[in-house]
Amino acid sequence: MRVAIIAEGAEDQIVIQNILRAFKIDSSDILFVKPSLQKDASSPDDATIGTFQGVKKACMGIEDYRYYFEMAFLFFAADCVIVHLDTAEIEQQDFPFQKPTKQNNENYSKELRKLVIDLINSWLDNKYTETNYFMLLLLRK
Amino acid sequence: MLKSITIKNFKSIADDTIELGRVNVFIGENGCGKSNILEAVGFASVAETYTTIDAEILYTKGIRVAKPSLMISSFAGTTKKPTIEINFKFDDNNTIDCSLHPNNPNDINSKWKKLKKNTSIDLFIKNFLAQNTDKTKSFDEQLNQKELRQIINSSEFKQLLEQEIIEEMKKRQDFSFTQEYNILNNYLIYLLNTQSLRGIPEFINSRNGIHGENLGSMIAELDIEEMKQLKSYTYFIGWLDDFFIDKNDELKYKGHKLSQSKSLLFFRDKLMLKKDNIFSSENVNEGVLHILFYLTLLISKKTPKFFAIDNIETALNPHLCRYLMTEICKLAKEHDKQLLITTHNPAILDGLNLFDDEIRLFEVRRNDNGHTKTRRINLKPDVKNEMGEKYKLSELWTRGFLGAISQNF
Repeated sequence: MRVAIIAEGAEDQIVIQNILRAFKIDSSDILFVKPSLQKDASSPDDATIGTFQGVKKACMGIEDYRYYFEMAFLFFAADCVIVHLDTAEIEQQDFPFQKPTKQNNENYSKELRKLVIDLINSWLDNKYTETNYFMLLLLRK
Repeated sequence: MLKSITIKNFKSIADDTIELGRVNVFIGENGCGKSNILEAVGFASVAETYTTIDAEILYTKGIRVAKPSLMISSFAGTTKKPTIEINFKFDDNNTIDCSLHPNNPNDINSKWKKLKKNTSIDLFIKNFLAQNTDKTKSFDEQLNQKELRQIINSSEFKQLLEQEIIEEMKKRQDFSFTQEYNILNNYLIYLLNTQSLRGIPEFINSRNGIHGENLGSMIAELDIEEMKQLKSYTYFIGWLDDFFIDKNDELKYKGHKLSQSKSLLFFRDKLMLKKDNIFSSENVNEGVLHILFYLTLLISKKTPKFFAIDNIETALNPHLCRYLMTEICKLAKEHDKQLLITTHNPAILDGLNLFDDEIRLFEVRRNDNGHTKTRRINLKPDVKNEMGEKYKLSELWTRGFLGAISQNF
């Protein structure tokens, strides 16, 4: 299986890579899309690296909102694209939604998951909703 | 034409199969094993051509020679295999299997031997002995058994043996004249060196001309049509008016070159004064030497039908790489050549039409165990009308979407 990863930071990519290794996915079948492929030495400093805004930028692309997704599927022959969002950072990172109430809410995880899925789908103009599943990595602080 | 190659236990290649086209380009990060693929083919070609394989023969084919214990795959945590295995399949479905074993794994000058597979005559004898001998008895006792002697001396046995010998002879005779044998026999890996192309004696190291040593003589040996075709490519170099061979080396005495270069190849510049516009190979820019070498290799009938070029982009402008590659693909078809090419220059990819099944691009990478693996890069039909406009292979590679990049940064 070939996998492309859009993550907030390089450390997150490595964590996801190691999780995938447990599923017998070889590192040579993984493409780190974000942040490694976006910048070159002449690029302006990007304050969004390591934030959810950076992931948003990678999903929406530089010229076309589908750019990185399209490239990963069309040319890297990716079977899936993993998008990593750290929901523990919602308050600090200006997410466009509020976290659901956690206390006494047995559906907390499901509700949060749905909010994130809807957010990513909106970035991708709902292009991949029919064909892709989302795996969420909820990283605890 | 060679259709596929399976390589086992050679350098970084533990086990890999590559389905080949006519022009095959391999890309990947440094040290991923691209050149090892070219060398594995060379190793097997030596095994099919020579009865004894030694370091010198391997070197003249363009193979980097190390001590055998390093040429046989060596991966941490695994048991080392004793032999290198290489299998070829040709488009007429003929196959060649090579199993290579060193006499001394720790001696860089060790000779290698090709292990023989059981031929039909081997099997005939084995079956006969299994049926007619008794291992519990001594060798002399077995040999002197009356029954065994009777069988060996019977006319039926002699007739069967004769049939087996004739069959085996036929097979060997047929193979030595096959196209497959000739294709492999002449295979070389070219890795050009500018000083060799210039004919500087200290850099004339190979009689096969794998570093470009024989450029002048390759051009001198072209027939009229071949020369005409080669000269039709002078437009590749903006300043180039013409090139020619100074057969008697007279220009040397007119101050056109120092006495160092052995090359008789000269160039005429169209932008300079006519009385002073001739350059020797010693003085000309390196790009023109590389271009002429590759084109001659493709056009000439006297060069191998099947060969490899390692790092084809050396000394070439990216834009030129793109057009040179397109012409190489065209010439390979026209002159029935098959090529293996490695490159680190993305512009080479823009000269490949990957919708043509004869033109193939491969990503070469090392997996988590360190094994070299290849993956053919196919383009989906959906993007056919957008290639060049929206998508360029060179950009896709540098942006990482073809793989074949380092992930360490």
